[in-house]
Amino acid sequence: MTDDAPGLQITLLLERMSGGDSAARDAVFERLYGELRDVAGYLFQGQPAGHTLQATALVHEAWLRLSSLKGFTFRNRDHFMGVAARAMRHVLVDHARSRNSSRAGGDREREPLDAVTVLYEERSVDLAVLDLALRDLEALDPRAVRVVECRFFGGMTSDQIARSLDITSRSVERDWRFARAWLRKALG
Amino acid sequence: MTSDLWRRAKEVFLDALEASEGDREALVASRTAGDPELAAEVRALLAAEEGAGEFLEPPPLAGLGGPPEGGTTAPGAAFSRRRVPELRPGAVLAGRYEVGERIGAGSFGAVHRGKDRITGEPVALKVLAAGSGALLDAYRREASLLRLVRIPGVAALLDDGVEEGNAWIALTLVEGTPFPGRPAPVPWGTLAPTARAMLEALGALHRLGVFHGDLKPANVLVDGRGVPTLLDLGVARERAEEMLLAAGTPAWLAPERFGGGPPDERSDLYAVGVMLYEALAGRPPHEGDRMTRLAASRREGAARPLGEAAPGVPPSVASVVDALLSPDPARRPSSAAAAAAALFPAGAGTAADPVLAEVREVLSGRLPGGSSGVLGEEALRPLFAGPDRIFHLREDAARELHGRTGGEPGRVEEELARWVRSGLARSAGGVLSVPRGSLVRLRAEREREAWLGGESPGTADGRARIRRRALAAEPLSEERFFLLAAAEEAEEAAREAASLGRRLEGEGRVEDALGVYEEALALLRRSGARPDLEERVLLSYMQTSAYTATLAGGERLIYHAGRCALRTPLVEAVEALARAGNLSLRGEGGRALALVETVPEGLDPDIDYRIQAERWLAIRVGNSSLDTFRSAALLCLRWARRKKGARARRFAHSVLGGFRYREGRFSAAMRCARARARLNDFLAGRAQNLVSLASNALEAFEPEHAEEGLRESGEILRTHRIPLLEAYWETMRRYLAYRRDEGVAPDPDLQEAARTLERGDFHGGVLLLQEAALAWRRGLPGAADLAEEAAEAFRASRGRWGPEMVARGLALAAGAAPDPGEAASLAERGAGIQVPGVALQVLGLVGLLRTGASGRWLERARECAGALDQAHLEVRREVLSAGEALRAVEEDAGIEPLPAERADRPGGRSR
Repeated sequence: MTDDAPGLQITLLLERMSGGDSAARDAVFERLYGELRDVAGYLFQGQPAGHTLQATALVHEAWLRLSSLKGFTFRNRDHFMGVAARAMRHVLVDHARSRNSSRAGGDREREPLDAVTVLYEERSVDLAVLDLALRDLEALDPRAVRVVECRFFGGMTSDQIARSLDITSRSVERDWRFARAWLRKALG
Repeated sequence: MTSDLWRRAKEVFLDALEASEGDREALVASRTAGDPELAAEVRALLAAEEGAGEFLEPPPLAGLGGPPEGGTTAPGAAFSRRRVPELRPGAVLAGRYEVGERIGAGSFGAVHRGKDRITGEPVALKVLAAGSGALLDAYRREASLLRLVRIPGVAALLDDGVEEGNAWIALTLVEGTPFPGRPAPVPWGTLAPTARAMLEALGALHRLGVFHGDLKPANVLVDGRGVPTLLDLGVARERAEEMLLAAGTPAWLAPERFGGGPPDERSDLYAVGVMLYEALAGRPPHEGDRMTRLAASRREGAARPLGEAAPGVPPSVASVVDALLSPDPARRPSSAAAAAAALFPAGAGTAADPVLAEVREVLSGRLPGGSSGVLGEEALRPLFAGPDRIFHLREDAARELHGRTGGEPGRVEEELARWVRSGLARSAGGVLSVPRGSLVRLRAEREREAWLGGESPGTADGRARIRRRALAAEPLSEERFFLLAAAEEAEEAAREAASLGRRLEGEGRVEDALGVYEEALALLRRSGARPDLEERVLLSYMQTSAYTATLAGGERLIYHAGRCALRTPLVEAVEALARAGNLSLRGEGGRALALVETVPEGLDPDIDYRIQAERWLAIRVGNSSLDTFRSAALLCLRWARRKKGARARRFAHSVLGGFRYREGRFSAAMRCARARARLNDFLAGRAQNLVSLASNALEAFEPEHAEEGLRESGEILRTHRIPLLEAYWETMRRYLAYRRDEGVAPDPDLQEAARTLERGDFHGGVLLLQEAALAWRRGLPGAADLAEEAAEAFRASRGRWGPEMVARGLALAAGAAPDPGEAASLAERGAGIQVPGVALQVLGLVGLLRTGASGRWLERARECAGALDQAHLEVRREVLSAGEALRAVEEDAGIEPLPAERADRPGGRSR
């Protein structure tokens, strides 16, 4: 880990990967996994050790999904992060859903993602419900949904999001404020 | 929210945020003046923004907040604080059903009025309060029984699921008042048709082994015409041991069930007896304010005979009702059918039956005088209303009727009366109108009853026997699939469905195939699902639905992808591609393309193929330049070349054909369509290719090839029901005739059919445009209205596309009042259309208005005309010929017309 500019390095690897270099692909996935773990670490700084473990579970799940996206090419690190944020959304939403549907059936074992899900839900609503609202918003404004994913699920900054989505930071801010108001209204 | 409202709301909202707080209200008021909907939206957004706080801020970062209470080991504690969301108006279930006002509630949960976003139809949403395991099972049971029960007179199950721990089902919304639908006492003559229809529906339920268990007036809604619908099979089931004791409502409960006995045929019939007694006598058979007393008086049979309580009731009827109320089940009529037979003996008392009188009137008016012999299918057709075109309602209704009665007049009369009583048919203007949905239910009822062969899926033994029947049935048949589903063998049924659907598609039965997939997906969802099977069925669904390339078809696919248990990459891919397809259909090629590019290749060959197809569609609808078109076509062709097999070759021909068409080389495009048809083993696909051949042949001015394509595809379509394709076919057939001016006249039946096509369908618009052109040429009234309807249909389907402008142009030319400045803007937009023939149509039609708006684009019009086939300038196109259009523009520009004969329409001249 001596790279001066890890972002650049990954961009180069990504380029080679798009060309079908399988060694490069493995290297990229290794590297990006590390990136993803860093994100989790960032998100859950100051949390007790148990939560960090659970954050790792989230990252791991998201990672499994991303690595099954065969043939998906990423423009650059930020683009990757944006997609990763989306994967995290799906992991958390699926978890919330399965939790909801099994809750009716009685007791269930606590699962690694429970606490992470709760952390997210403290800042929003039931994630399965949020997901429905996001789908509605998707029909009107897909870009705003990407922004919400990056910021809320991925914890990315406006600048990172702007690079990931290839838009200006101002657009990110505007989309964000609108999406947040819209979602809050939609969720009553 | 419409995307237009959303866009404006976003704009105003963001601007308002940037304004200082003092200026905000003034800004909102001025920017939303005259648009209360927009104003309300913006204000609601601002209010939501104001209290947003931490909402959607990423969860605890360093320095913010601590761990949730209880430290590392108590996520459960945090859980219990969680709000369980309630179903409230405005919520959306499964991304599809909008929840409206609550229309009923009971111990089981609530019933809301709702709306299906995909079909636009109203629905009833029944939601079970969260957290009750036993009731959840009852709901599942109701859902699976109802799914099997597709019978007239019983509210149809549309969908079901679990959301936020709340189980819900969507049913057709039934409007009506509780049985008997009018204040009691009701004279027998008035009550009879309703009573009879109720017994018929109940009998059909019983024959499938399903017992209602909670029959009471509130569960039998009667509409204004006296047609009853059975609702709420919430406690319908066989396995009493799984249920709460004595479920059902005491006032209508049979005595043997007070002790907790299971419902059966006879206990349902007892409830019918109570309901009939109350309706006829105006009071219940037994009084009793407490359940124990009620039970006791029922067991002793202390009901006052109906004949005494209501002396006006015919004695034969009163004795049947008394028998229905007998405390000993063995002394009640043995079945709903037996009760109906006793109440309505053949030939007696029927004169008082208004339904039968109605049916007889239709029969005597429509059948050859005094026909007493057996009637053929053909002879039965005049009994029914159309449209014949595209939907073939008359033909199919006659076939169904003949299949059930053998054409024997007495049975025809009886069967039709049953259709009317159960709301499947209604008489209007001396004929019976039977919508497609009724025909589907009639067929399902007949087939399914025969397939089950008397077995009931309600018990484990019954299901085991059904499973054995399934294994004995022919593989890849609808019978086998249905029986597997009835036996709740979800996995086997899903496997069967994935292949059966493709078989049906191959035979041209696209709608039936989609129905099979939808049932299989619902079954998998309920049974806790195998994600791989779900993916497999979904992929088949995606393939088959390509034949119904409509917005609603796309929405259905998006919906099913969204309902998949796991968001696998493959499911995501299907959803993204379906969304892209719908964006293309709305004319948003750019957004569609962006979405297609997010789908990774290599997941599955079907997906890879669809990626190419959607990419190509997005380019085609994008009004893009010839260069863009060329490079996209090259990419697609390169892809197809790398693949092997007939499908890739077909795709290559399709791309090449599309490109040739865009280039204006229509003969070459036509040859591509022919090659595609030759390579197509699927009947629906081949028919589509052949109609497309005809379409290209028309553009190429090779009418003999057009005829050939229409003849061959017509043979396929004659025996199949693919309304969309048939609409396309009709369009081409009539277009050919219009060109030749072969004396075709506007056809009201066809207009009706075009309106019946799914909302937002393109071909409906094309048909209406043609009808409008015909009417206009002949100087008939109504041309402007038809053209406006066509424009409306185009607007709903492909928004900004050329055809809408042509339709609007024709509406104006036919005398519709233009909006201020409309001629100028229409001409300008028309001139911008890339396809020269269509641009010229718009300019020509606007030119006919003589406002000078079109004359400004004279150069563009000349350029367009120059790009067209010079040998056929005077042949009619969509509306005008190129020559007519160009002359209209020239005259609009103030250029003295060349001396020539005047044509039949102002501004147009022919050679």
